[in-house]
Order: sequence, then C-alpha cells, then structure tokens
Amino acid sequence: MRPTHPLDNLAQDIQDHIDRETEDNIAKGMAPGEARRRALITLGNPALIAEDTRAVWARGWLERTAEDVRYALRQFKRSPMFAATAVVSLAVGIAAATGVFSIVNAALLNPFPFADINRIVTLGMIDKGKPRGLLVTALQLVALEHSDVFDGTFALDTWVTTLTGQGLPEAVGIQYFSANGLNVLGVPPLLGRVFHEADGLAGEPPQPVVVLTYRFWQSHFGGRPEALGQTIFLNREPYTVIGVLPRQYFSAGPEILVPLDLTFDTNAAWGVQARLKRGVTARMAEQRLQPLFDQFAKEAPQRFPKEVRPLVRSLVQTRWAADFVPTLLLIFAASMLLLLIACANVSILLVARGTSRVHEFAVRAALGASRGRLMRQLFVESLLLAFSGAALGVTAGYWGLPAIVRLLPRNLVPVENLIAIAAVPVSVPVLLFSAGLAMASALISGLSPALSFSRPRLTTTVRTTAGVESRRAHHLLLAAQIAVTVLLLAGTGAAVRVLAGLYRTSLGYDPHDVIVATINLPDNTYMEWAGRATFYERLRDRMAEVPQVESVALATYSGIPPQSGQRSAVEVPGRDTPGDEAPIVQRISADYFSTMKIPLIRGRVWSNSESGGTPHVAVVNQTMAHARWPDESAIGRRLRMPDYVKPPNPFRLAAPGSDGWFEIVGVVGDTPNVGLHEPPAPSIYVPYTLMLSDSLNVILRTSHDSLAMSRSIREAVRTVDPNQPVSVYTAEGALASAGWARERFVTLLLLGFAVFALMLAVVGLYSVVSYAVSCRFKEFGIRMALGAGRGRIVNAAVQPAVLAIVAGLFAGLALSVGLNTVVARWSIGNLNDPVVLVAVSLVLFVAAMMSAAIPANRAASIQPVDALRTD
Amino acid sequence: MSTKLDRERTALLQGTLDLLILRTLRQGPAHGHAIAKAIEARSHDVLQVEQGSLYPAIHRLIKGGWITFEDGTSENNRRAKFYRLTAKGVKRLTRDMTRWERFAGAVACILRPTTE
Repeated sequence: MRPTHPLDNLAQDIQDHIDRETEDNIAKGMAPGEARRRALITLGNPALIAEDTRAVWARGWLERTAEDVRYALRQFKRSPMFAATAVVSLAVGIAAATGVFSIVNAALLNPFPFADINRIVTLGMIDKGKPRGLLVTALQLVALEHSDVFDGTFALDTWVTTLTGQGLPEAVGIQYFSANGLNVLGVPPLLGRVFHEADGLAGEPPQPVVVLTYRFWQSHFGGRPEALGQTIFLNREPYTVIGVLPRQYFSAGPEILVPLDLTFDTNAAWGVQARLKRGVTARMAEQRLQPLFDQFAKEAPQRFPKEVRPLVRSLVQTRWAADFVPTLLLIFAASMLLLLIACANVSILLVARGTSRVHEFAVRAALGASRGRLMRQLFVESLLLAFSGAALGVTAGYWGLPAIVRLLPRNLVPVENLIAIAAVPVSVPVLLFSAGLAMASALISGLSPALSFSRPRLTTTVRTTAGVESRRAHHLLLAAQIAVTVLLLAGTGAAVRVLAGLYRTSLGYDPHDVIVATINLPDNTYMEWAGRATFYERLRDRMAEVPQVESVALATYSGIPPQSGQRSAVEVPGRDTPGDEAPIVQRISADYFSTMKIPLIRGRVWSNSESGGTPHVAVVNQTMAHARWPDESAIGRRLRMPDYVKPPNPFRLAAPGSDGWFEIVGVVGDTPNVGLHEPPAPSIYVPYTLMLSDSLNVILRTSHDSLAMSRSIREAVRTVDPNQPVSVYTAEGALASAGWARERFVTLLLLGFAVFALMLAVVGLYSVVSYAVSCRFKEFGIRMALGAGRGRIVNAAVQPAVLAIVAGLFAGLALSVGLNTVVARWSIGNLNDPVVLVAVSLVLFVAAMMSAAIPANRAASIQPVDALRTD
Repeated sequence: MSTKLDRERTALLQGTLDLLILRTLRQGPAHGHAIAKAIEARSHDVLQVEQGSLYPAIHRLIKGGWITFEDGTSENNRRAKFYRLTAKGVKRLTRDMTRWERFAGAVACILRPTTE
C-alpha cells in the first residue's frame, strides 16, 4: 500500500535507517553486534525520535483549539456559577436579538414565502403624480399578459362569503385568483393540485373547484387527506376540493382559494399582480407598459384618467406597513443594546475571574506560553461561553417567539409570514445571524480581559493584593454597562408613558362590557330594501331579548371608535370650501349614542319610529359643528349626500323616495374616528335605514363579562335566520388591536428587555463588589485588625463601585438626552422626559445599592484572624 | 533568562540542518539515511549529523511544503521513502543560501580581517 501521509510507516523508516547504518558499520569492519550498537548510539532512541517526529505534525490548529476547549471546559467546571451566569447573560441577550431579528427578517427582509419574491409586483397607476389602485378587465389582463415584461400576470379579488353544509353557516374569507395565479406566484400544493389554466379560461365560467389553505383544512377537515374530492358549499353552490396548500401560504386572511370568473363583461375589473421577467426592473416595466396604458386610457376613459402612467411596485414594498418599519428598527436597536449590556456583563465576570486566575496565567507564562497563546486561550473561553449562550438563546427563542408574535399588531405587519415564524421560529438566516452575534459577543466581551491578562508580570502578580489595574477595568466596564442600561430603561420608560397616555386618552365613549356581533349577509339574500330592513329589525329585537343585554344598537360600519364610518361626499350649501376633506359618515340606529354612552351635546337624536323609520335627519359631532358653523348653531342646518339617492354599488339598498337632503337635529361628543393618535375628524351620523348595507354590526351593552355571551348571541341570530353567519368580538379587544397594538407591543417588549437589563446590571454590580472584596480580603482583615470600624470597611468595599455607578448613571442620562432627537424621529415617546429620567435613575440606584449590600456586608464581617491566615 | 537563549540556539541549529537537507536534496531524491551520509561525506566528516533530529527536521520540511516524498526502491532493492525538493523548496534553498553566504562571509571578514 502506498503511504499517503509522511508519518505512515514511520517506525519502518527509522528501522531501515538503523539497518543501513549497521550495514555501513559492518562494511567498515565492525562485528555485527558492535555495528548495531554503534548505529543505535548514532541515531538515538527510536521511540523518542518517532515521538518527536509525530510532534511536528500533532500540533495542528485543530488539535491546539481542541486542547484549548478542553482546558476551558475544565475551567468552567471548576467555577460553575461563573459559567452559568455568563452563559445565561449572553443567552438572554442573544435570545432577544435573535427573536427580534426573526421578526425583522419575516416582516421586512423576507415577508412572503413565494419563490423569487422580488420579481412579484403589484400593478397600479399614477394619476397626476399620485399613486392609485388599478383595476383591469379580462381583455386588458390578456393584453398585459402578452406584453414582453412579465412572465405571468393574474387578477385577484377577495370576498367574504357564506360556507354552509358543515354545521352552522359561517362567514369565510375567499381569495379569487385567475386560474394561473398560484402558478405565477410559485405556490406548490401540499395535497392534490393547484389551479391550472383550464380551471378558469378567460370568457368562460370557471370550474367549481377550490384549493384550501392549510388553516381551513385543519379546522374543517381535521387535516385529513380525504378532504380531496369532497364538496363544500359556498353561498350554497357546490365546489370540489382539489388541493390543499402548505402551511406557510395564505396563513392569515383568506381561507379558501377559488378561480376568478374572468368574464369579458367590461363592468367587471380586478386588481393585477405579475411576475417580472428575469432582468426586467420595475422602472423598465413601467416604461415599456406606457403605450399599453395609453391605449387603456383611450378605450376606457371612465377607469383610466388622461395622461395615466403605469406604476409597478414589488409586492414586498407595497405590503410593508411603512409606519411599522421604524418601530421594528427601534425594537431591534433595543435588543442590540440589551446584547451589549450582556456582553459588558460577561466582560465583567471574565475580568473578575481573570483576577482570581492571575496566578495561573503567571505560571503559564513562566512555563513559556506566549502572549498570543494566552490570548487565544482566553478568547476560546469567551467563544465557548458565547456559543453556549447562543445555543441556549436560540432554544429560548424557539419557545418564546410564538408568544412575541402573538403580541404583534396584526394589521401593521404582513401577517402571512408571522404565522410562519411562529411555526418555524428558527430558520437558516436566523441561525446564521445568531452565530454571528455569538462571535461578536465573544469578541466584545473577551477583548478587555484578554488584553489585561495576557500580559502578566510576575512581579506584580506574586503579590496577593493584586488586581488594582483589573479592578479599574472592572469599574469602567460597570460604568459602561450602567450607562447603556440607563438608555434602555429611559427608552422603556418613555414608551410606558406613551402607552399610559393612550389609556388615559378620552375615548368619548365607554368601551367596557360592549360586544359587537357582525352580520355579513350571504350573497344575493335580502335584496329588497323592505325585506332587509325587516330582517335587521328582527335581529335587533331578538338580541334585545338575550338575558343580560342592557341595550342594543345597530351600526353599518364597525361602530367601535377609533374605526367608525367611511368618508363620503357631503355638500353643505354655502359652507363648503374646496380643500375640505370628506367627512366620515356612519349609519346607525337611534339608540347608538345611548348604548355607546356618547354624550348628546345639543339638540336631539331621532327616534326609531320617526317618519316611518326613515327620517331624513342627521346628527353631527362637535368637530363637524365647529368646522362648518363656527359662530352659530348647527341645529336646523341642511346638508346633502348624493349617495343616498343612488347607492354607489348594488350591495347597498337606499330607502325609497330619498332626495339626499338631511336636516341636522343634534350635536354629539367627539370620539376618535381616524385612529387613536389623530384628532377626531368631522363626522355625520344618519339613520341606518336610509341605506341598508349587506353588512351590519349589532352593538350590545351587557351587564357583565361580555364574551361569555357570544354563544347566546349566536343562538339569537340562528332563531331569526338559520343560514346567517355571525362573528362576535368585544369593543375593548377591537380597541386594543386597532389603536394600541403598536404601543402595547413596543412597550411590552421594551419592558421585558429593561427587566433583563436591570437584572444583568445587578449581577454585574454584585460580582464587581464581591470580587473587590475577595481581592482585598487580606487588606480588609489587616485594616480591621488595626481598628477600622465596620462602616469604614463597607465604605472602602463599596465606594469605587458606587462611583462607577454614579458615573455610568450620568453618562446614561447624557446619552438618553443626546439621543433623544435621533430616537424621536422613530416615534414612541420622549427620552428627554424628566419624570422618566428621574424614575429610571431611582430604580437603578436602588437596585444597585441592594446588590452591593450583600458583598459589602460580607466585607464587614471579615474576621481579621481568618484574613491574616490566608496566604 | 536561559530559556530565551536556548531557544535561539536551537533555532539556529534547526535552520542549519534544514538548509543542509535542502542542499543535499538538490542533487536528487534520497532516503533518510542517504541524506545523513551525504551531509557527513560532503563536510568531510566535520559535521556529524545529529541523526535523531534528522527525522523531525525532514517532517517539518514536508509540513512546510519545501520537500515531498514518494515510495521508491533503494540500490539494494529495499523499499524506502525518497524525499525530493519541491519548487517552493528550491526557492527557499536559494534564499537561505544567499543569506548563509552573506552571514558566513561577514563572520569570515571579522575573523580574518584583511591587512590594510
């Protein structure tokens, strides 16, 4: 066999050498025995030579590192408390940073699971410089399909329809796709197949087939593969299940996918998405689509304005919730601060431990270990700590992330992927990121100890009161840690203040014990005004009979501020100025204000029986009254709403005989109606009976714990119409998810971070003081023997740390005030708030004093005799 | 104090042995014993190779990539590893020889100053 490594047959090589030398010696005339003996003398001990030769190879990089790792592990085993504290510190930091990173990754960097996501675009148009949505007809879609910039285009639409045939009727979200849509997006089936072109050819009615989302498949078919081929009823029409999608696709929003009816009827138009050809940018696509859009504008002037320009935006961009980006970045920065604090903490622990290992380093240096060797040893130790911390942190993230995701404001982040991260919280990019973090933290936390201990001087280390220098490093690190902690605490305090402020904001109504039941009529039901009006009235009457319901009101749009009503055109003769934004109009029953506890300021509210139930009257909010009639009463004024003569779409039924004119009869208090952060906009309330929508919100004020009543409310709806689906939620829940979600999310996360930061600071301080005490054990003993009182000793033990804390505190305060302008742009609170800063300083100082007290007390109870007896 | 000096001396000796091995191998591939014999012979037996350090030195040179080895058969039909100079080794030999000659020349100048 050929040797592949020079060490193969080494013994044989050496034996050959001896044999040859022996032969030479025999040739010189020696006797064979003498010849062999001389050969052995010339060469030396074969075993020793073999060992020396092997040693040339043995000390490879890997072996040396393995040696260092073994040594480090032995060190950790010797002081497990130290190792555990350091690992847990880093784990907390890395878990926070990794967790936030996975959210950032899912929400910003990679928000959709579709293949090659950057090529998927949404088409829009630019009208007089402003972006607008685009709706195209089937013919226009075909024209777009044939342009040379796309690999595929598809139309899509969403709808809520009624699912029947599976117990109670149920409202389900439907996503319509032109049949090629899923193929263009690159969505594979988990079971069965996705649509192909034949399922919905342009100009022909589509096949009655559906593809289920994973969620729907789980909830309605228990995840059984027999779902394929089954029939479900949507709006009472049968559809065959042909496929199920993998979990990560459409994991929020619509539940069932249906092929779109690409009719050539020019009244039907849909939104368009497309996949750009490889190498075609959005800008290039816009340029090349211009002629086509010019043609559209000529053919369909009612839908395309003059001089229209195409707008091509990547799906990722359009779905970024722009105002959530800074919030995420803020959280990300905070998590990085926490990691930095953890690193400082580990650094402190390492320095402290280094101090007690000075002898070891001195001995190793004396035995010939070079500075680089010692530094490497220290670095391997901190790397080992960091990677154990990262492993623990990622594991913690794996369990903890779903909880964080549940806190995320649903409507601010593209939710599809958030569910996906909750399912698979640790992905490859996240793992890479945390490994990078571990490396960085090892470097940061290992740097200071490596520098100060790799240079041991025998002369200084032999003395036992050593470590003056390292104690200085200690205090510097402590001050830095405190400074960053102050910054984090100040940020948290500011966020808490904002949230508290929001809770205090006057809502103008009472959200407690209010539930909302939303009714979405199945398609093509109650299509006459009178029938629909009767149905709604019966619903209201039936619900009023439910036990513990105190009052019932109806509202067309979600009646729960801050979401209330829809802007629509209103003409106020003589009071309109061209710049006016359309007021928000809400259609309600007369008892809405009393149910919501919105105060009536002036005038009256109509009664349910007035003018046959359809009085042409309106009530305005205070903002509206002040804006249009600043100097006089709004009562008795008239305004016109053209929509009430001819409704803008077939789903709304106007009361017969409406001329669109309304008389203002009352003024009510303001409620937030464009979000909790904005002042209320002018708004108008009119009787819901004047125009009946196909959806309705029944608002119930109940006497106690409202959600428990959801069952009796469903029952009530069923007795009126067994085919009518209903969904129930509480006003407070709606309020939290709509208005406060972002603040609540930021504040809760920051609070979590701040608590950990504070804990780390306490651990850091504790170890600084206790190591100072143990280093100066002998000194304190001597001082006590010479008559120093306990107070003096405590003072000596604690004073340097207290100085460091105070310095860190002031540095942190300065940092907070200095960074305020930067952070202010990212929203959420004011770091400059004196209340916050004082509170933070107090909390930190108290925590610091408490953590210093234990080791200080130990210093005070030193027995001088014990101290003098130690070496 | 002594450790440092010791190390330098060893380094010097090592370096010299390396140079001698490289120089020997420039004549052509050879096995370990042949290298030792060649050095002794060429120095007219003045330099007695510390044979025990020969093998570590050879392996150090292999590890550094200056020499390589292959299996061969020696003059009397015995199998042996034959060591051979690599291109990198040739380069190092040239460099080290120049350096050595300069050093030896300088020492010679001091020891036998030319009369003025």
